[in-house]
Amino acid sequence: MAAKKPDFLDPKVLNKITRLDLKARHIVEGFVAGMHKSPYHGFSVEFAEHREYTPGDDLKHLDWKVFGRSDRLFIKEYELETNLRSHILLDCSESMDYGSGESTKLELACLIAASMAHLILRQQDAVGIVTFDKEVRSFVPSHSGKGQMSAVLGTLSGAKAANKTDVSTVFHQLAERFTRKGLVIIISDLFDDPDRLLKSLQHFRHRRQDVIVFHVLDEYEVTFPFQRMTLFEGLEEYPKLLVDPRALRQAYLEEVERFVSRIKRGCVLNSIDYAQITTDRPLDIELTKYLAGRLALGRR
Amino acid sequence: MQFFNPALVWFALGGAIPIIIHLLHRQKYRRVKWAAMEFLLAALKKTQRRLRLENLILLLLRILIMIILAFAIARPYLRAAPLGLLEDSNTHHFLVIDNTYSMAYKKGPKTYLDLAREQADKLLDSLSPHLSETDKITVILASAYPEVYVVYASKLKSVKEMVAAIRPSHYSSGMYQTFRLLDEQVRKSTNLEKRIYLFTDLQRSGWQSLDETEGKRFGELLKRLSSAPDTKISIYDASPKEAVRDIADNRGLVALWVENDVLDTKSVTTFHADLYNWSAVSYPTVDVKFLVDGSYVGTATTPLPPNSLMPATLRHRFHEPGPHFVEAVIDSDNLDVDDRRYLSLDVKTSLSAFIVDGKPLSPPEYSDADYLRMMLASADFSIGGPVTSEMFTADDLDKHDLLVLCNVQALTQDKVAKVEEYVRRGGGLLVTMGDRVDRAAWNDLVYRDGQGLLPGRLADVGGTPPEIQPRVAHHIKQYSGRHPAFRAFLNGPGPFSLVFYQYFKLEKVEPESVLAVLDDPGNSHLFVEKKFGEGKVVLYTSTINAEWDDNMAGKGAFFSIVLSLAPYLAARSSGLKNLQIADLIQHSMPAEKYSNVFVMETPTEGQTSISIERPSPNSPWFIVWYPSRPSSLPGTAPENKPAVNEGLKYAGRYALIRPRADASGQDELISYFAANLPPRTNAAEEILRCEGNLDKITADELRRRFPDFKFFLAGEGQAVGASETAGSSLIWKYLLYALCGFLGLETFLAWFFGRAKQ
Repeated sequence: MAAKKPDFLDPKVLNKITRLDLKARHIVEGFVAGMHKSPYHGFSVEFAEHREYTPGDDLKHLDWKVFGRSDRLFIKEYELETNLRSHILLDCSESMDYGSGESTKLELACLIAASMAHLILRQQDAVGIVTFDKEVRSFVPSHSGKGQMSAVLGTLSGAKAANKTDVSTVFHQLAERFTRKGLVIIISDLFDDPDRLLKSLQHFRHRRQDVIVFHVLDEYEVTFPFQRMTLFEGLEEYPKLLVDPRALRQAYLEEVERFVSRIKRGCVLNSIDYAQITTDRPLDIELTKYLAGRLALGRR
Repeated sequence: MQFFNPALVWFALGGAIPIIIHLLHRQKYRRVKWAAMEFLLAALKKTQRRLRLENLILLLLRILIMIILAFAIARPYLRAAPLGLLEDSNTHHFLVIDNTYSMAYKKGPKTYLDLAREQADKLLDSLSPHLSETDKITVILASAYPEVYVVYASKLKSVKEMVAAIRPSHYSSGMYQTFRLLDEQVRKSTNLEKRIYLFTDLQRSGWQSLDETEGKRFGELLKRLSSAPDTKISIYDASPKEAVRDIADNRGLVALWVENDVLDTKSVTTFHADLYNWSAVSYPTVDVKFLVDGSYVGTATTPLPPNSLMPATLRHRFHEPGPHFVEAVIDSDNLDVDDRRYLSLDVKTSLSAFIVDGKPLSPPEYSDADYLRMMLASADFSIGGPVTSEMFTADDLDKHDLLVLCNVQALTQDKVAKVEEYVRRGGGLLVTMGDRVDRAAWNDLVYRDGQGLLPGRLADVGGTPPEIQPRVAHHIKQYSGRHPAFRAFLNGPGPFSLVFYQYFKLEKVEPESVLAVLDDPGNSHLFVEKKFGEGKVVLYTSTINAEWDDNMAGKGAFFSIVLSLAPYLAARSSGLKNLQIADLIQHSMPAEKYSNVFVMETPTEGQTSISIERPSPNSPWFIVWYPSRPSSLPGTAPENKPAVNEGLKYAGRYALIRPRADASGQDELISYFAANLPPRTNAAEEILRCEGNLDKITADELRRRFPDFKFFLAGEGQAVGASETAGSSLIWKYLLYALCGFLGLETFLAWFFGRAKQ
């Protein structure tokens, strides 16, 4: 299936995608240099699409039938058969709109998504992207074509944080939807009930999916540095709360720590890759660190 | 509970400040959109109760701190510490010790002052264990000239030493003055409690007032002082309980004087010493020894019944002119300070008169001045002049004892000033009238609306002029028989035979200055006197040479008047040289005697230097003051005078000496001054009020006289002492401690709670 083409007419979008793409490329460049290609050459018999011939293209893929009919030269592009069919699940709930620094969690998540998509596509693997909040908002099926990156980028550029989160329900739905074995890359703040969440992650595992969880959190969410009297206005329909943050800091951090530990433990128990990425850390370093670690373990 | 600063208690409302700050603090917050609300809510749920409690504790603590602070600065205190807890001593002890000369009365080997010192010492010992750092002691010497002897001492040892060093003064009692000073000191005191201990012989005269007004003020003062809730007064009787009548042996010399108007080497001087016996003991004889210039010259003996005044006289002839000092002494009794009396005298070789003749005549006619010259010469006066009015310069008048102005037309202003100064410093002036006298000029310059020398304003000439015949004769109608001028007529017929035809009428004459009046319809004045400074002026309104009179010069009666009047006028008052305690020595001298160094020989301090005031370099005289120039001018109202004694402190002999410039010569004795104890006169009332009278007032009498005066009476050995002191509680001190504690606790808790939040 052809990926939805991004709206290139919107310079903002264009800028965003370009920037994102460039960033993604940059991030994975070092990694890619050492990467091995898929043991399979990715030669699939499944026809994907035609494109006009340009000098230099391999003539063996020339579609003579079309030439005979139209007197025009077209190259056949095929769906490459890969070892990996991956889906990037991007949390676009309202809580992802929070950011204490230059970028929000969503922006960081998009960058992670673009980086991973870029990496996967460079491997000649297939990648799709799903955005969700309390339900699936958009679904780009996993493909490996050249246009897939644009489709991913286009989805990312259109991603806006809104609505409450119901991560677990969405994950259960998606787990049922992914029929073939593959890789699920979850990029979310995972603000949901940990038990329900872990159950939904387990569901992916039962469906023979490899799961990577990028737990995106804001720096302030993990440090809670507030001093003055603060009115916290909750996103996702939570009530407002006027408190002295110093009074709650210790207890809050304990809660966060407990939550993260619970998730982490659950992921480990279910052989799910877990990486916590905060908005204050340089993404290239964090991703590189994670991916290098994954490579070292011999996993894709 | 009471407060030193009750108005500051309102600051306790500042306890609302922490609440206000808390509420305001909650109004100021920042808004943050927050994604991880779930964790925040979970944290809040976990800590809500603990947070509430911590905040409440801190808020209450801060409110309490504000309230305690307000109370602490309002300085509360309790007069009686509850259950003896938190008891502080904050007492100012006032020891008022009577050291008037009656306290020198000896009871056995000890004087009343010795007993008072012992009582004070015992009291100080009893206070010693209870004295705190905030306690103070002030010692006041009680007398008519009270003084603060020890100010705010807190070291007991030095106070005891100073009390032991107190000596009797020569002052009389003055409890009103003493309590005024005491009141001033009590009001200055910042201590919580005041304790007053009065050590006195309870001499009656000390508690008496000069007049009703002073008595009323004294009563109010005692009431105010003793009624104050923080003040207690104890009186220690330093004298035995017996009344004065039982006091044996209390007699003294109350006066020493001479009856002569003029003291010279030609005549015999009669010394008079008056003795008084305040006791019930009768003395058949009391010997009074007289010393002149330190040498014994004789003894007079007199009996001395109880409560009686008896004279003792001695006749003496001075052989040398100049200043002399006379002492009268009786055997010492138990109060020996009043057993001596002193007198300073100036003895002359003869008196000197200077005569100004306003209408000189040639023989066979004689002027008033001529006749007076003859009369005064016969009275052993040395005579200067007569000179005419024009020749009269009024210079060097101090060389003469008497100035006579006969029928002088007028004097210039300059001459009047000189004559006034001469009379003011003790010279005598006799003025006779006549046809030359310019009434207007005399009234303007010499009468000067009563400020000048003339005792009355010259009006018309009364009587019959010579051109109207027959002239009406006027006689003396009345005269002052006790005046020295008429001494000759004491035991005989008066001068009623003298005839006067004309005389100047006078206006605005003070009745008490009239010496003789005529029998004319208006009872015109004939002889009138005026005291001017230290000198005297007598105005005779008629003539002597028969122009307006019937030849007074030939009349024995008139001669007698002149012979008595002249020495009377010429006798310089010795008032400036015979003084009382608290008087100042003031002696003026002619400029030629000036020196920048003078000393005063005193009875207690040997020779001391003295102040010299020279009005101006060209001034013909200068003044010597002792002990020093007064801080207030003469004539200052009593209430504006300083309350301290600026004058003499001790009775005895004072000698003004001008040291010789070179070592070869002797120091020059300028004059003697005698300082005596009261009384100033031998009037009965004064004698009974003086300090020598040891008559006591009892405590009951004191309470009757001053019903609102609250005091404790401590007899011999019965000290009020330390049990009356302390008992109060300075709550504010403990509040400050508590405040520090709470501040520390608040700081610690705020940190501790804050640490838990980290």
